[in-house]
Amino acid sequence: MKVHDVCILGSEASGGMTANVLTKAGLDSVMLEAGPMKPISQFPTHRIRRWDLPGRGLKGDYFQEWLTQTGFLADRAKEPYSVAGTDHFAFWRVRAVGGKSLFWAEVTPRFGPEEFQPLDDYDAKLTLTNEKVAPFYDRVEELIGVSSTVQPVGAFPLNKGLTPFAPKAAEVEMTKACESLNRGLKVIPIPKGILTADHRGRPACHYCGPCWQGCDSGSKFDSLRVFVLAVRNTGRLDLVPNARVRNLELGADGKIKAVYYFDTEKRQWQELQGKSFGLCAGAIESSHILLNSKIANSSGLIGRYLSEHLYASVGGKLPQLMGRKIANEDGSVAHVFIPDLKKHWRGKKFIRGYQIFPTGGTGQFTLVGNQIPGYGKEWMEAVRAYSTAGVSILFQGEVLPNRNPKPNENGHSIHYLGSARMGNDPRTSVTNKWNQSHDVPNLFLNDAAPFVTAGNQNPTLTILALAMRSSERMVNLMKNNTWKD
Amino acid sequence: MKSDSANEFQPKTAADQFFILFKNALTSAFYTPQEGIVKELGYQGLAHLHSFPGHDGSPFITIANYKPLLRSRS
Repeated sequence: MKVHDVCILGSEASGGMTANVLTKAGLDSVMLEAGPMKPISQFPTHRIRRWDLPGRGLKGDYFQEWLTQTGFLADRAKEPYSVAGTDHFAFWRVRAVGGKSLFWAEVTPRFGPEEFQPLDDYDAKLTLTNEKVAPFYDRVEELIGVSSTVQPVGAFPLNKGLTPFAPKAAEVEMTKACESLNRGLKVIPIPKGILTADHRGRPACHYCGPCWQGCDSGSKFDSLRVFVLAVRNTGRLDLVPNARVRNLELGADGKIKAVYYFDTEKRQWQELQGKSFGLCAGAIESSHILLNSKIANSSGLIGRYLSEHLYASVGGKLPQLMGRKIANEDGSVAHVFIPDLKKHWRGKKFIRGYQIFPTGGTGQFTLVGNQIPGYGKEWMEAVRAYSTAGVSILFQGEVLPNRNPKPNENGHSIHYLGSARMGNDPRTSVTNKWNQSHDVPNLFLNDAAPFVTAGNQNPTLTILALAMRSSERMVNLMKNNTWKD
Repeated sequence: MKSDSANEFQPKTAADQFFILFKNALTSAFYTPQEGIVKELGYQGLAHLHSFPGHDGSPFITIANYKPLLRSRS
């Protein structure tokens, strides 16, 4: 049986980055993905119009239901999480090559110094610093193409991006309002993994609106287009879709020698052998595989300290936006945001930070008519006037890691991190600061599982930076035929 | 209709309640399909643009005799 240099388990952002680094270094790699290779023509990019959906998409989560029906998302009814007691786990599991990166919301802020090393004394901290990761952030941003924040705000760092997104009319007004409060609310262009100019052979965004529904032009970063397909063309990556991994098996030397998976197309158990293994299945799924394998868990912390993000939103109308000329203002969802809300806004019981996304425009739905008195022609004119005045504010805050994770009341956040945390001490952590297992030297957890904190920022850019950093070290170790520096 | 709508934010009678029910149903029925969103309100999204113009900074021209109309039901 062929022994690959590296077996990569999972094809989402971290898996794509791992494959990209390893194959460029000449290593022979194989990538397993639990779902199928979906043709880009099946992306729902422009196909879902909410008014065409049953109930016009007003009941439940229309997008999750659509993804489940089309086989992109694991069906919670047929494939439920096993839970204890009243726990409610409902985290997203995208089953397609590219994983969750196909449908992410593309916001790419960097972690600031306080996310790497929180100033409070709650729980452990990442064993990394902003300075150590910054060079990798620079390179990831250049590689995937990120729009610029233009300026740093407080501890929130400046990125190296393309032209910033132009703010929408509603965002200009929200900016004025926020800054007039004199409470340190600084609104800046949002950093996004979406191209505002042609970049590395990919076209600039065409501003069709629903970025979260997949991007047919490839202007939004996803692991499928930017990494997997490009890397496969080098001939150094074997892609194995429809491979549901059961477990990893240790050899007599204490290193993993094989991965066992079920091929859901051929309906057969299969085995692959490798010299090293990159676990990139998404934090929870990676921990799931390790627990099934009964390895790398001398600390007893696999599955512990999951952390996520908490959301809240409010909507309203700004009178100064009423009755404007109708225009296509969908753009790319939010074009501005307020980062780094720690010093000025947190209360005594709120020890970490959060972000705010203010946006608005001529949206698809308006039920404002319920709040406008009267009926008839005048009422319809008022509804029309208000339809251009809608604004919304979304808050995203960090959920503190907990030894016994309890998902929020919805059962999920779109961002889940941790569950195999990083640290210097093998007794209190699963991986070292290089995402490498303390117990099994040829195992690298390159996804979000080693995160100690969630920060308040969207995590994908940091996942990519740490995956790049870990993968480059893997290359050096393998070239030197060792598993230690 | 005029008398039915008079108390729509402080309903007192069954007729007032019916008016609210009917108006809510009408609002969601008319302003959620393509007819209401695209043809009536002029929504132009889900289309390709060569560039996103953003806001040009000019002041907005709000409707004449604007009165804050929005109200909430208790």
